[in-house]
Amino acid sequence: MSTASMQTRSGTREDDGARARDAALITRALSGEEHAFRELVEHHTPRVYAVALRLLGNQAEAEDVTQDVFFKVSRKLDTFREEAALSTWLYRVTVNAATDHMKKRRGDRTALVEDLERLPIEDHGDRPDEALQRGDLRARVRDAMDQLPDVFRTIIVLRELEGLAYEEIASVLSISKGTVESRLFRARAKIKAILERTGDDQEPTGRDS
Amino acid sequence: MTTQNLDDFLMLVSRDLDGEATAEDRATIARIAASDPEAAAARDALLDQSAALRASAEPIHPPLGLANRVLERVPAPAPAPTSRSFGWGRVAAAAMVMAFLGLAIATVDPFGGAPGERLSANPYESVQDAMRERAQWIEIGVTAETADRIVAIKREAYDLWAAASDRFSGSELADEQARIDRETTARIQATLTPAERTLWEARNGPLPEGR
Repeated sequence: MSTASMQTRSGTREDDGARARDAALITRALSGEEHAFRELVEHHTPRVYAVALRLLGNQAEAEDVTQDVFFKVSRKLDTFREEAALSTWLYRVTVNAATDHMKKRRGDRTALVEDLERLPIEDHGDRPDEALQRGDLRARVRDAMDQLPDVFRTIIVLRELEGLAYEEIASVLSISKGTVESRLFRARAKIKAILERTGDDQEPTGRDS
Repeated sequence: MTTQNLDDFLMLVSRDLDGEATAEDRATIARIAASDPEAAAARDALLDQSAALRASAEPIHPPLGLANRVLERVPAPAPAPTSRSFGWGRVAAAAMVMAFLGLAIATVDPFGGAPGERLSANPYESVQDAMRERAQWIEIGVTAETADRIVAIKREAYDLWAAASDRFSGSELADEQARIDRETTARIQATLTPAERTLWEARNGPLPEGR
């Protein structure tokens, strides 16, 4: 099974073939062909699930979100506009559904986006590179991702892991390209600050004699 | 370099990292990095961090059979209405369906007490109404988690009823909706913990065991 349609990388567009295929499947599904809807679900389920899992970090919740997404797709398919890529719409529905789960899970720990946009960025302080070299950088970056506020994790997942371009992210999150850029910058600064902090935690407190 | 200047510089690096920088941006990055070791180190750290993040993304494969499970629970989209079929007959049919839905929600709810306003529209199209419904269940004595599950089950039931109305008519429609009704009632009852059942029955009498 191919999962290509949502796997666009930076700077690339979903190809016309995939878009035409999705458009044809949607038309057939809306004319009552259940097989066409099945094909749409089978084709897009892997990517929807992967995005949900990356955002939520929990398989059961990711599966619930996948169900929710296709419920919404089924109900709203007739409102889909062909000028937009189906993958962009699916990203948007998936992010919204996952965000609802995150809010439910975290309750009032979820800060408002507006508040986050006003948060100061931590001082750069010492270079983290020496500390980073000591440990497994990948694992530490993953841990740092888990500590990010939802709004920052979402944009990092869309950009760094899903490879969406600024314009696509702006469309998925309904924000401007400028906000995409500044939010990404802040998210990266936040990761850096977390890495520096955890790096400091791992520093020996004294020199062995 | 001041913190503000370093932020501005790293913003350009971040943009470049994302493939969105202009030639002018890239020239600025190269010029500053060449003349300022602190800026160059900060740029390298950001590049390392991003590379590590991208490398940490292992491929994710969905659980076996997930698409099939989705398809079992998600109704196919209702066929788009055609100009020939859309008319007063359809409006009348929709009115009948809504009346049925109103009846169904009252009977699906094993505890009764569905507010009248929910009979005229899908209650779960509105977040406020869904939250009100959730609060009612919590007031009955179930946990917030159970209330969430019940609201989700009932939302799904409405979707299924709506889908059925586009596929069936007459006695077939009534049979299909009765089937959905029975399944929904059973699912709601099954979602209660023994403690929740006991709590509710102590206050309100025995639960129906299905119809």
